Amino acid sequence: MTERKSKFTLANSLTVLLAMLLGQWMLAWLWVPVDEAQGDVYRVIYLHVPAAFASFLSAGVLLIGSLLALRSKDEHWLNLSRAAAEVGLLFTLLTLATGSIWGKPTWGVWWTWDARLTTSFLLALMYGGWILLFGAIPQGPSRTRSCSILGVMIAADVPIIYKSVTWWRTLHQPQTILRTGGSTMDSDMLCVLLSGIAIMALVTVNMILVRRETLRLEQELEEKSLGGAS
Amino acid sequence: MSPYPEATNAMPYLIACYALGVLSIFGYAVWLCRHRIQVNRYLAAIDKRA
Repeated sequence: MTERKSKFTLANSLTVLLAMLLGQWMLAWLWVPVDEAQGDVYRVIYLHVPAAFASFLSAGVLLIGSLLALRSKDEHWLNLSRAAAEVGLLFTLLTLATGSIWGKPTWGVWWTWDARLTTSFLLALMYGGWILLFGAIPQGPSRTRSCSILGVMIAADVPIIYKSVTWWRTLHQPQTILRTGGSTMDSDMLCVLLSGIAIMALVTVNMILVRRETLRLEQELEEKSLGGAS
Repeated sequence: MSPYPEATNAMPYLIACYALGVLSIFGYAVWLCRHRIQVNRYLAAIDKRA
């Protein structure tokens, strides 16, 4: 019971983090200067980029869960992978949607099969595929192995997405934060963007942990229900 | 002159993006917490019955 009660602090900290996220969005709307070329529409960056980093982070957690599951052959690691896949799908879809909305006024199109967009779309498909695969295979070593292999493949897509703007000629702008020679952004803009990425990363980890614990409790509930029924 | 003529009327795009952000992130967080509370409640009921 103490354990269950203590896990509630995760949900409480999620509330605090979401409040911080709202505060960061307020700064993004009201405090940071306007972009000379794009005007106010560039403020989408303060949601789009942190969401993209959150989707990458989820893939990293999915990779850890998958490798641990493959190594130990213990299915309970799939709870971590499943939580990461769900949260990853949420943030990848948000990245695609906000990118699409940003693309219309700046590129003139809602969508184009650009390398960055296509590889990100593939990431969303693979996250969705992971969730479907998990539901399609009955519990056992086969599910652990198949889901974990797909988890590793999903994580392998992340460096491809990240480097796609340098490997191929794309419409998407090149790297602006982590680039040789330093960032090209104004320091105030960069500060708010980096804080947004940090807060979104904490929100992501928190969501994954809350979801993982809930999945574990669901299993406990199922076992107890079945035990009571027999 | 801005190289992005359509970007001059930014507000609808900004509102659409952040509304999506609020709906998805906050919506998921609310679902997560409510679901968690529900599972805890069921577990407590089973523990009590046992």
